[in-house]
Amino acid sequence: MCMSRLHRAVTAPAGGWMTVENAEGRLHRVSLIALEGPEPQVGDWLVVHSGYALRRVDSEEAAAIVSELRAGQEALS
Amino acid sequence: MSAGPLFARYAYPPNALGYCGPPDPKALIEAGSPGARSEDVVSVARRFSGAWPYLELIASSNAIADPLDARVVEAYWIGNELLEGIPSTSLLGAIGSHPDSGLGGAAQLRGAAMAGGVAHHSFHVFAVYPWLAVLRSGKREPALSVLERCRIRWGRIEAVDGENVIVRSRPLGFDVRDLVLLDERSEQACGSVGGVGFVDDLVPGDLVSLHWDWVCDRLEPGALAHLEHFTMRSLQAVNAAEVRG
Repeated sequence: MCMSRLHRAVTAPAGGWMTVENAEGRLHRVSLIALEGPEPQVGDWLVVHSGYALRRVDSEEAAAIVSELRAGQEALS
Repeated sequence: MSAGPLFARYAYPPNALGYCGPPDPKALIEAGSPGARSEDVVSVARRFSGAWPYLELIASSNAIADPLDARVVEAYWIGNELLEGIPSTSLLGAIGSHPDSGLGGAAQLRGAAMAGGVAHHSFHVFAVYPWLAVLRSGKREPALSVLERCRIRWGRIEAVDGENVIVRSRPLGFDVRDLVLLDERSEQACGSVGGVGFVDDLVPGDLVSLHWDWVCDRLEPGALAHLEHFTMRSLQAVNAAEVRG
């Protein structure tokens, strides 16, 4: 099972890869091969799945997703 | 097999890759060991927020109090008769609020659920994850590889090479807009690392299940039939689904 999470870019892209951080502060190295458009920049929000960045998320949508994730985590705790 | 080890052996491969669950694969292995306390297994399994809603749905739909009942865990990863009595509307209701539900698009999820989807891991991979939509948009890779490795697949060991095995299995393919299973081919999988694995004494001829790069279990004929049946059900559901935005 492969949970998707919202991640924030923390390093500049290099060779089609970049490092991202999830809401829990965990760092992941993700591939940008499945992402369309210009390369993401540090601070951009991304939806990541199974090691791949899939799409960009604007700050408004990111805030909504973070809120949903927190509500889900509270429901599970 | 009790629920803890059964849950752990299928949850471990993506967890070790950092894709889901708590950031400590060792905790998962320990929680899944035969001597683990049931509350340890529950605390770890609940943090697999992808799998947990399915376990709750399967349990509640079959009047089973414990989502970590071994029959429930088996139903989710492999498939069994517990899945047959779950209405599509219940599946949709449970998964509609799932954290992953927006990934592949609401239309794809609803269409696949109403076209015969079942509360099986393969349904989540094919119908909920975004990769089928990515595939249909024309980007074959990495979409097909992720779908293939993320689903629980089955095969027969044809050779053992140290800690790795060579398995004959039917890979996932893509035909115009449909996911299909292709003819058998050989693939390499990991039987153990440093002597630690989920299945002892693998030999050529064994029927096994695979998740990501790992051999997860030795399958009895009944389990193989269930895994194949429910995987095909999920494939048929996503292929038959009418997707309207």
